Amino acid sequence: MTADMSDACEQYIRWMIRGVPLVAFRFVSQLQDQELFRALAIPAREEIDDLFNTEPQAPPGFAPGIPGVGAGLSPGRSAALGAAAMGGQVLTRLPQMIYAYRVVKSGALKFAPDATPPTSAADAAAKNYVYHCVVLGAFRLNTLRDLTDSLPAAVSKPPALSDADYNAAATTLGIDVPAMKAVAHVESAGSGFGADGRPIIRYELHRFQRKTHSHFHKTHPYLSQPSLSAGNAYHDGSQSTEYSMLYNAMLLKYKGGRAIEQAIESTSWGKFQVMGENWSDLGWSSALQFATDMYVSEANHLKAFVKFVHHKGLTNALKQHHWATFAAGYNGPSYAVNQYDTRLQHAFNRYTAAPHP
Amino acid sequence: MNVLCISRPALFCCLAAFACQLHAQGKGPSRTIWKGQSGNYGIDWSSTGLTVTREANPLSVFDAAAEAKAAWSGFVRNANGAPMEAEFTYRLLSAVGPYLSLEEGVYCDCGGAHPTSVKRFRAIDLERSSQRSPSPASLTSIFPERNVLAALLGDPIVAGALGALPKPESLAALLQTLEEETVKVKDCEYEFPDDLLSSFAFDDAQDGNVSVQLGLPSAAQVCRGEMIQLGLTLPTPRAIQAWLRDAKERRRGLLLVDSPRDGRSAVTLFHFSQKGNGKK
Repeated sequence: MTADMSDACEQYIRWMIRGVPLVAFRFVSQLQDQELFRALAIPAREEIDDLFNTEPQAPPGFAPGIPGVGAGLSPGRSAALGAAAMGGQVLTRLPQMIYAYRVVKSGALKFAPDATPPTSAADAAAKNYVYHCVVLGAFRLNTLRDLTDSLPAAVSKPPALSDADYNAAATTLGIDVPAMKAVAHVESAGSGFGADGRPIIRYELHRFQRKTHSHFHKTHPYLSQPSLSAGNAYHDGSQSTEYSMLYNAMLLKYKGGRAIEQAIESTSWGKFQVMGENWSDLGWSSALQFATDMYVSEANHLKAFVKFVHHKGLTNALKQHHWATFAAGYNGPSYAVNQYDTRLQHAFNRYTAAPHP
Repeated sequence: MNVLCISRPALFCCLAAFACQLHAQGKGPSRTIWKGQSGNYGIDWSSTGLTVTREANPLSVFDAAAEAKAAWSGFVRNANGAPMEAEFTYRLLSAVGPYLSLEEGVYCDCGGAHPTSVKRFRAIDLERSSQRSPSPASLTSIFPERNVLAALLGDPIVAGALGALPKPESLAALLQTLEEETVKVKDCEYEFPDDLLSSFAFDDAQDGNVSVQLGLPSAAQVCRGEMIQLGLTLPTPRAIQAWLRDAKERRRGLLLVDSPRDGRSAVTLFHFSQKGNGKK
């Protein structure tokens, strides 16, 4: 079950990322009950603590500073002081916000013996959140944009691979063009970009779990799972879901920064679906630079493929059309399960018979 | 002691095999998901196994654990000592008389450009199967070919795949045409597998008709592990009427509509891993 993120929610996340929790707090106060719970569940839990523990010192124009007030106080008390400083709607919504914070933080409706929802709407939203997000582990907000502003904007109609690109790569590797086209076909069955101009991707939840040492499994099960089969349940065949998972993972606070590199590394990219974690072996300076280049053109997807084939010693297998050997290296030793080698052969035959089918 | 006679490399292999075996075993106690009869067969589906035995014969006709183990062995042979991890999942979809339908998942994090996942439907004809050698069931051995052809041609997914192509006049011609086609749902392309007629499960039975679901796996690696279903409604042949009624009434057998499906808890899972020996 998913819903798209509202503008206020997006602003709340952006101000959290900028490290200005009081402004984030103001935007949280604008969220309706259903979105409030889900919005508080988006960041790493330590960051929501920051949100509710921050002293009421806001940037100029937002609230009067009350120096020194709030230190060492409970989250509720700090939040109350912050809300009082902001006044208006923030103050009105404070009981719902503190209630939502405690439900999200504990993952339970009964976070304390005297836990009582402030309104019936908050009660319904809390139950909805606990059932979907905590029990089923599936409730999330679709993150439509990279809120860390790390990845480039998608360009309209990014350049597709030309015959010149293929011929250049063919010369580099000594491989014929139909063989490369066959791999592209089996990997992506078409364009390396979606209709919105973003490269096609697949986010792997179990890889993210490994790279972040299981830090987010309990709090963000829809981003982090212990195994490939467990993660498979979170895909639904749409690129917007893949990107929502990637964006959401990127904004998580991890080891003093954001889990941007870990999220990019846990994703396979473009027409040849090379995992981001290969960036160093393939000669890129960082995972982010690798992903950034994947946004530019299919020629960059081909560049990653050529380097991967070379790095893994698969050039000869592809050159000599030893499909099984190539499949074992590019798709892994389980290649026969999905008939990767025969698919390659079939696609190669088609491209050989008709270079532009 | 015998173990003293084993050479060092052999001993290492034994230990490695033992470690691998430990990994392959379930992580918790076995929990029954469904247990019952279908036709002359006993089915035992749990979190740690899925076996089918003929009544009065303890030898299994189908054993998911044995299949998973054999597949893993194949991966190991191809891996050349590289570290890898694989999972095999099985879900019982339907059991109607001697026809058993499963959803199988194979997940391998085994090197390569990206991990591999495959999910598919598989129907088994238990009558034609021998010990641990399951034989695929075909829709055309249960339903008249003309009915299958008409149902497929009437399906919107098939119609979408055929597009402006002329409607094939025989089932063989239709399947041949579909082998070259894919259908797009959301952002993924799905294919008609060459074993399409053996990729089915009995969904429900009503008013002399039976609904059958066919699984179409993804056609490209970017959508690895995805699958869509295609639904057909067919007149129930006399030969399976009694089995279908038994399954519908939950006396003997199981229909997809009643199959346990609460996510990860209704699946048999086998997990294997090897740490690798440093060879490339």
